[in-house]
Amino acid sequence: MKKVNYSILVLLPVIGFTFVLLTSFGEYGTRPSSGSVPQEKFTIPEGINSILDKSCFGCHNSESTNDKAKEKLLIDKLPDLSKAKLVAKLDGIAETIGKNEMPPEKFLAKYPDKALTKEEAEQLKEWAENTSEELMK
Amino acid sequence: MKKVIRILLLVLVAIFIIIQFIPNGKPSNQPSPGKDLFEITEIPQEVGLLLKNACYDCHSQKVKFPWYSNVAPVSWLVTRDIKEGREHLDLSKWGDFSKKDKLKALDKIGEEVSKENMPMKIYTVMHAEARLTKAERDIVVKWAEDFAEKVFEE
Repeated sequence: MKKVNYSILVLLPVIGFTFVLLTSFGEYGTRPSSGSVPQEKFTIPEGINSILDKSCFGCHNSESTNDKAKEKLLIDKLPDLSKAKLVAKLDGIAETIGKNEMPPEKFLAKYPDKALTKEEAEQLKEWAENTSEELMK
Repeated sequence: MKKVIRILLLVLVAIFIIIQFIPNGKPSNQPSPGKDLFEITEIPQEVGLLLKNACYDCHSQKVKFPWYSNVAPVSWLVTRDIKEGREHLDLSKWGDFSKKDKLKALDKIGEEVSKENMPMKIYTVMHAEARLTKAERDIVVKWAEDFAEKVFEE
């Protein structure tokens, strides 16, 4: 009989604590995100994401079988990089796109629909440059 | 048959002698004072030694030319590799690099060294001191990462 009492005594604060935790989280979510918590995580805007998806991600992702492409850039791993590395990678993207080196010609011969339009290339380059500038501020 | 071999040998020797006179514009060292990585940055001794032994013979203006680098056709290879090496990265011009250039260079160093693309195989054939072990590669990669963080905070 005594044992049962004990277990309830132990459980009560645990339940109470869990309740407080859960409710406080709920409140957190409904609070407007007005800057007090800095959004540090690196995110790619929707428009850019669709361009990357079309022309780049096929080779530059961690599951890719193209080792050379993986060495140079892993788009899905960008958010895990330090800011210093992110700047380097974004600058590499801007440079490569600026020089019209990607996607490779051989690849485009096979998949002409994966080519970047002039506008897309410009958008991508601008995004990479601006984001890298922003990070260095 | 013997005659043919003798003629062939003579021709080869003649070619060897003739190619020595083809000008190939061997790159010289033209360091600008106060710009070299080692002059303006504190580099851990251990790392410094690895960089000097494994990188500086192409990626700097402090190239040490072995005697055979003056003999064609080896001199042609040396010339090409140093020119290309400096084009990609010249650590004797570190002082002229923008912050972005530095971050890019350090990222590349980490990439090339960890993937064992650098130092080039053809270079390590004649330079045993440039054959990096896994542990030594890790040291260079770690240094490049840490140094990039420092550059970023500057």
